[in-house]
Amino acid sequence: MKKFVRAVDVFNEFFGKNMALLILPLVFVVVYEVIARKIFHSPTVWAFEVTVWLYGAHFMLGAAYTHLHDRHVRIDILSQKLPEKVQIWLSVITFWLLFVPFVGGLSYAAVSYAAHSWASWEHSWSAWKPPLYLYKTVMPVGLLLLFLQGAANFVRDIYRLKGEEI
Amino acid sequence: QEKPAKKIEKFGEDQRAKEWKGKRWTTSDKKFTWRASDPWGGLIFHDFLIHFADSVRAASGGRLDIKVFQTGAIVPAMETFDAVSKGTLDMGHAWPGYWKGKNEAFVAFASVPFGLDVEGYNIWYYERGGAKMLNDLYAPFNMVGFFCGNSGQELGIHSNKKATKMEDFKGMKVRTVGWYQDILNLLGANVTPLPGPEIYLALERGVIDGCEFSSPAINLPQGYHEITKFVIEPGVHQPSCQTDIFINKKKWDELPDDLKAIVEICAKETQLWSTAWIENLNIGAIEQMGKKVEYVQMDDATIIEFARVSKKYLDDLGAKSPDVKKVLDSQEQFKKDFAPWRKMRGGIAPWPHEQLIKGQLYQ
Amino acid sequence: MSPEFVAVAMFGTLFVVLFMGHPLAFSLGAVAVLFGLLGWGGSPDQIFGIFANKTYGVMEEYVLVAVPLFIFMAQMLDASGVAEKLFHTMHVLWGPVRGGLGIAVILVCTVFAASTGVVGATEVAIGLLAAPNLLKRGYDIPMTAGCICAGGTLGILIPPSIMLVVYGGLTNISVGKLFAAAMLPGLTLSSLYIIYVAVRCGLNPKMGPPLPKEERTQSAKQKLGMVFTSLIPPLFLIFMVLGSIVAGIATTTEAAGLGAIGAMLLALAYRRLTWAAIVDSATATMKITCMVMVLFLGGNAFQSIFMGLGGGDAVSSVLLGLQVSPYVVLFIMMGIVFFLGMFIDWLGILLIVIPVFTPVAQELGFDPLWFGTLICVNLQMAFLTPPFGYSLFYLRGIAPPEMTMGLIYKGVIPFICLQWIGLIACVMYQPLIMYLPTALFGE
Ligand code: NA
Ligand code: NA
Repeated sequence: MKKFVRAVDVFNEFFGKNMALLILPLVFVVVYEVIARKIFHSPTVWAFEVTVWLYGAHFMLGAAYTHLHDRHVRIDILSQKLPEKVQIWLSVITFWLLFVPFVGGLSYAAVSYAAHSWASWEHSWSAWKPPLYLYKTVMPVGLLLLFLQGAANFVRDIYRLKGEEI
Repeated sequence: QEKPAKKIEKFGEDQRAKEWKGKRWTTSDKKFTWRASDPWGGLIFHDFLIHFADSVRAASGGRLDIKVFQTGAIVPAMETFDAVSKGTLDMGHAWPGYWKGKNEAFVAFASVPFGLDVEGYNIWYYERGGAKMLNDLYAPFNMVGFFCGNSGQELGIHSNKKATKMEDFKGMKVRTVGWYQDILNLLGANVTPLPGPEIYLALERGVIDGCEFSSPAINLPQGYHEITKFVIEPGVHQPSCQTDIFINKKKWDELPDDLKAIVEICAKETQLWSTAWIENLNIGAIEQMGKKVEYVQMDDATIIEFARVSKKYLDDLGAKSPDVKKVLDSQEQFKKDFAPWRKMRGGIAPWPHEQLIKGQLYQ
Repeated sequence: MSPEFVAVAMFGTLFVVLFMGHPLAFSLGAVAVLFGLLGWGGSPDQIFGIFANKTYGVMEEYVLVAVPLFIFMAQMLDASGVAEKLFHTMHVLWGPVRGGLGIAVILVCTVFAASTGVVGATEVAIGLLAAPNLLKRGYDIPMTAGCICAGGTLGILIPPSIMLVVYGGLTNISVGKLFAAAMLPGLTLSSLYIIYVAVRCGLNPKMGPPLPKEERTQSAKQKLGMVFTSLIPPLFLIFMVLGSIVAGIATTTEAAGLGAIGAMLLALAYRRLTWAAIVDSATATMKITCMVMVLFLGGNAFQSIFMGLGGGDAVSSVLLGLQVSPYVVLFIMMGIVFFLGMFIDWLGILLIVIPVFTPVAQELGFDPLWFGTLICVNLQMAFLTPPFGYSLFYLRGIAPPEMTMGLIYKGVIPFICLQWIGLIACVMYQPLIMYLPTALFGE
């Protein structure tokens, strides 16, 4: 199990760091479109959707990385005052009580959502018509990685209860 | 003495009368509640859905209660289709063209450039197989659909550029949706696919030169006429704007026959009412807009060029998609069949008597 | 489940779950799952289907593209070191006055608020410079903390602002108009802060003494040069972002992109645009963006189940059923937002209250733009109100040890009062919000 935790950590760290760089093409595409339209008077047909896709991929694929770094905002003003052991127990309980039902259920739905899109070879309704099933696949991928990170954190907590840090 | 030719007893037959002849209607106390939504936001297309739901409630004595949710309250606007398909919502209302990405042929049931007007859609849908084609299209997505409201001829392009000749459209930055996007691009314009709330500011600040949106009564509250100088007529992109309801198949199958009949009749009733409602509102809308903008007319040569490019585009589209071809061919066949009568009866339009006497005769 | 029960039970459950310390996004989502399964009357597939639809809706929202762009811009700006120069200038300029350094902090924050769209990065940058500086000069600890927290928070009210972008995305109000509407209220708050610091320190110089004579060596000409050179970079950014919107060069989303490029160019000009700096900014951007966007997913889930089960109708019928003046209902709504602000962050509040309150406000005849801006002004307080306030946490994260949480709490209380005054001013004198959007964009 320790291997699982380390593997998830390492992968999400690596993957998230790289996906963070999506912000650069996002900036450039947005600016390119302004220049194409304002200076060369020929807006592109693709910039609008590429912009949205880069933005969506950026945050969906970074959700796990953000969880790894414990940056999803939490209200810990009360729980922080509890003894450490109780805090870990609380974290174990909330994983099953809150994280699994929501993130688990959403990941499951996202897989089926993307599968539906693949099944009808869904394309965008714009003039450019990019294949939407590709973009919609980003959703289950991001959520499953997030779910894995949650599971890894849970296993880590179990070890911590036994006094071991991973 | 020559025998008189055989008199035709009756020309034509109402299919439904045949279907329902001798049918025994029963009713029950079982209550059904449906959740419905749409992508309309504050647009008055939302009222089509409300009207339909009210009609169903009245006709069924409340046995089918369709609860209409605000756009986005349950699922985002453009997810209505998926939500109904999956059974998250029981029913939706929309412009079928929004589902272009699911199947290109949906657009043909919504608005086709130089395509069917209100009357055309009604004849084609109710009497020439359009209804079955729409259901065939929805079937793989686990839904049934019915035409439910048409807002008629759309207004042309709100624009800051007075474009009436072909060369005026070259490089013009326009916002539009559906097949017209491609057609305008082919004509040399630059189409920018902006989402609804961005249009106003983009138009006002000159990010785009013009936009088409909908019928006069629907455009008026958007305020585009406050920030543009011209409206370029005619709205060749949408000779009418057809909307429909789509119902989750399982929910539809659960209904007893009498409620199914009520849904169908109320959809048809909404279709009728919508035209009357919107066209009457349009009178005031163009008057109010006219105080702020100048209505200009594209010249005939330009309209012909638009039509030529549209035809080429639609033919290419049909060549790529058999579904599109089937629907468009059927609509085109109707247009051909109807053409002689259209021409013959098209002589006199109901202008006010004074105008008729002064010589304004034709539509 | 009756709608009234849904309204009470969903919020009740949320409040219990909230304090278990699990991320807010997943807590909101889990409450939605629970009530969806209990009340929706369908298969679990349908409930999760809603959440998937909602999630994709967020992934499709063009307006929200501005969020990562504004965050990245702030990170790059932080890396460029522009804030240090501006603070140094203001320090020299205002040093001779009682409370002058506090005023300098608020002025720098205001200028940066007009060039960036978030709270975090600039507050931290300015706090790092200002806190030790002011304390060394004998400033009162609470006064120092109050200036930094309240000033730093202005970043998300004075346009550009991701809060206004999010509000526009949630309500279909033009972001450009929201930007225009929030400008004067933001500047009003900033002025109130400055007046307060000047008066308070004027009466009691122990809270904020002037700089000693030996530190005031610059000539008037030198000072003018400093002002000129240190103000150019932020003015350049204001021109890139707000200028490009007003001039019709760009949509708000595109303006955010121009701002990001602008900040990169500034970093380049100051020779700080290294690959390492870009990567650092990018990863920091990702963490903040994902925190915001994932909260959207949970908040959306909560919202759709709450609305779908009739909770929204229940709340609005109670609010509309009160036989009182619309302004009393308005005050109640503002009070609820303020109360929520103690425990939940701005985005969580927006996600929860917007679908319930905006129809009520409309019913009462309030202009949607005006009402929206009022909510955003109100949310300034959420950053400062204990126990949960972002600005407090940011400051605590960088503050010297003697600046305890208790002293920070004490320091922000007068500023929260000022924010209430600002809010009331916006209600009493409506042109404060409506003048600019009307003047710039017409009615
Ligand atoms: Na700002
Ligand atoms: Na707070």
